Amino acid sequence: MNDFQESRLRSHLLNVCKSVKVSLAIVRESQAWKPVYFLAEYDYLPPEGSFKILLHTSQFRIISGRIQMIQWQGFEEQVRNGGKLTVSLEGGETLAIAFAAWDARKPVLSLAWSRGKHGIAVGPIFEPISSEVRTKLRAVSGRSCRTLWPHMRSPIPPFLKP
Amino acid sequence: MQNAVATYEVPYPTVSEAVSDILKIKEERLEFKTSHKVHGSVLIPLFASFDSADYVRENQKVVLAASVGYYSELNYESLHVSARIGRRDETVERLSKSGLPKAAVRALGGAVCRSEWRSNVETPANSIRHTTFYLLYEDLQDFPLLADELHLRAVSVLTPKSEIERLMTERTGRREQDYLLKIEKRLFDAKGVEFEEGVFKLLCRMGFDVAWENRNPPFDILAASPNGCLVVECTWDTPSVAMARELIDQAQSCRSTENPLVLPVLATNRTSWSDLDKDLLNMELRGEVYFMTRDRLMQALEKLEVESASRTATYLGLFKW
Repeated sequence: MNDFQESRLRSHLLNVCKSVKVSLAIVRESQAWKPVYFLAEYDYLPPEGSFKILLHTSQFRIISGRIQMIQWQGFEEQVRNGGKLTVSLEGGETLAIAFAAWDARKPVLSLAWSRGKHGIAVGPIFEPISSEVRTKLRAVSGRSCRTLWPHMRSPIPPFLKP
Repeated sequence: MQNAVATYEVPYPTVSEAVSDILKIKEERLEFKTSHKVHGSVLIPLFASFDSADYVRENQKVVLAASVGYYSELNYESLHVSARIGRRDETVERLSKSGLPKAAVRALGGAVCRSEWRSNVETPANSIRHTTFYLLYEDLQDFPLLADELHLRAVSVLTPKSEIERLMTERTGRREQDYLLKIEKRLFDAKGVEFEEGVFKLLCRMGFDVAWENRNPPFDILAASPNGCLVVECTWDTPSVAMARELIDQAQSCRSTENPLVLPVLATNRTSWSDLDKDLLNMELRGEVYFMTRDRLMQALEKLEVESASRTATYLGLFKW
């Protein structure tokens, strides 16, 4: 699938889809929240008001929310070019996530048959498993999250904790 | 210290396992598991795909049938199915695209529609080597999109069950006949020697080496395998504790260092497992004896029927056509 075709499909689906489900794994670094994983799925369900916190630690979080199509357009712009993304969390908290610029790969059409056969279904947003156009994104800086988890562990074994 | 408390409350040894479990993504698809690179994806589902597809036999003809699932907001008139049938002689039959019927069943709170597509086929069932179904989405002007593709191998049932029954009709001049319907009748409608024969044939088909004993031994069938043996007593009466105990003793006498695993099995086509006496159920729970009751015979036969078809199809490949 070329960029033109993808763009045509996107504009067509703007009339059909009602939301984009955005899921983020973020880490706190130098007082700022930064993404380590990001997944956006066009969806036919209506948008929700705020993001749910699916995993909560002081330095690492996984959040997910269904945002409006129009909101997604601005969101995607900031993901691709870099910028500060502000999301409302359930409970009223607001979170700013700092995106560096991310490169987009060429969109690829992945057929449902092939996805089902290889067991690579992602998310139960459409039942049965649907074919999909997948665009991969990579952070330009290529920042590593290799050391994330050890930093979050205590140097003191748990049985010695006060 | 505060960080540590929070982290020890999280039952994940790695970031990738946490993301995989919570967002339901296969861990090996997360690049930071292997390369530690941060990354992401934008997914645009097409909201239309095949649920299933199969061959349907109608009289002597083959019909292609496919079930298509699609989001209810999509224009169903934009969805078309075509198919390509590869024949054994390397020629091809092509079925041009045709639309989905208007009637659709709604599911998932009305969000998803399912439509059944069918098309007649010229190629005889036994000439079909494989079929590919294509689902096309054509709502975008001059930009038809392949929304899904599905592949079927050759027609799996060329000779229907009714025809096999006809071929297996009992008549004089045939030395021996062994077929599933005969086993089924022996298992569920017969008693005495005929019921024993049904159990004997069932065990043969399961793959055991089987000996059907004379009247003298106190059990009817010995079924041997490299992984364990069965000592089987068949009864049309309601099983009793005394009957089970006698069989347990017989099984014990068959055990040896060379044949350590011997299970006593009491087969009955009269009683279901749920109707067994509490004492008998306790004996089975303790692993002393196994009751092959009517419902369990039924389950075994159903499993056997499916497996036989698959196994025979494999052996059929040994014969040149």
